[in-house]
Amino acid sequence: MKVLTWILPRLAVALILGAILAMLGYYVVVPAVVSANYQKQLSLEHFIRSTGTGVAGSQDAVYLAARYDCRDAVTEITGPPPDALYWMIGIYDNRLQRIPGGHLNDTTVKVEEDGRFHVLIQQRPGNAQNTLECGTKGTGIIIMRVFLPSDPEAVLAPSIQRRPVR
Amino acid sequence: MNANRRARLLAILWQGALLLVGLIILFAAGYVAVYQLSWGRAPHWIEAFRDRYKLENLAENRRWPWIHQDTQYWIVRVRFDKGPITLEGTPPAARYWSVTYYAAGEQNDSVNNLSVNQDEDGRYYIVFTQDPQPDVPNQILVRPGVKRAVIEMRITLPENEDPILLPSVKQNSTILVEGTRP
Repeated sequence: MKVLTWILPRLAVALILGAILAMLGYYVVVPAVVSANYQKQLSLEHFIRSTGTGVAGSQDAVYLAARYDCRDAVTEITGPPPDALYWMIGIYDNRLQRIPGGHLNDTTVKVEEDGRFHVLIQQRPGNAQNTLECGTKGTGIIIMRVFLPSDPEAVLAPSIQRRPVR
Repeated sequence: MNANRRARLLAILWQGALLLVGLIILFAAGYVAVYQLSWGRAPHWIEAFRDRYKLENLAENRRWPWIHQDTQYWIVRVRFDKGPITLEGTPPAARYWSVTYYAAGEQNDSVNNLSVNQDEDGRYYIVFTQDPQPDVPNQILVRPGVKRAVIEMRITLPENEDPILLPSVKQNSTILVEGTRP
């Protein structure tokens, strides 16, 4: 009984401190590490291509990555659909997690009459076919994966335009 | 609050913090030890979305940043220092699939649905080896010095709702993992 009355309050303190540490890790440390490792190398204005040896991922794919910030702007991504077996474009939060409603692929994206796709990243749902919905996740990373392109060198990075939200 | 009571509360606080540090060290050391020692024992297929939050697979989350719902990411932990590994199976009905291996975060050779060679029965045999042989199809060169790694199978946009038939994993004529529908 004496041991129990000694250990229980200390265990309660340990659990509370552990919960605080876990929340700090989740909300502060992980985003900071992601930011240091990835986001600083990426741009809000254009895609960066990462492929070849020394890069993680599949050698079958061309990866294009950029940052988004949808707190004060709508991001429009425009480009020609790549000639490939499969391609997708998706947004991820600062913990490298996919965002529900933040994923399109070559079968779900609508290509306009001009032969290009126009995809918006915005907080609210829009045209489901061409909207990546960032919701309350203010910032994060955009990744476009192009698998088994007919010519990897011919894969063009889409352009990015940011329009301020009034 | 008198000084005596304050001192007792402070003692509970720092002793609780110390207890937490001890518990974290104990848990982390135990987890790493079990993870390392169990590598290659009773291997089995693990899928990112299905299995990533199971306690025994938490460490594998370092392999699964930015995964997306079009693709199933199946991995199996293997040891290449015990000989070449062969995957034997039938191709999944999917827009894209591939197998490769990761020892760390690097890119390695892969075999995919466009490059795979199948036999007359439609089966494939994919060999992971550090000593590739001439005229053997579906070989993936394992870098020298790689002792343990995960083999990863990506299956993108499966064509039907049926569970995927995963390949068998063999090493030195021993079946490590029986081909199965998860």
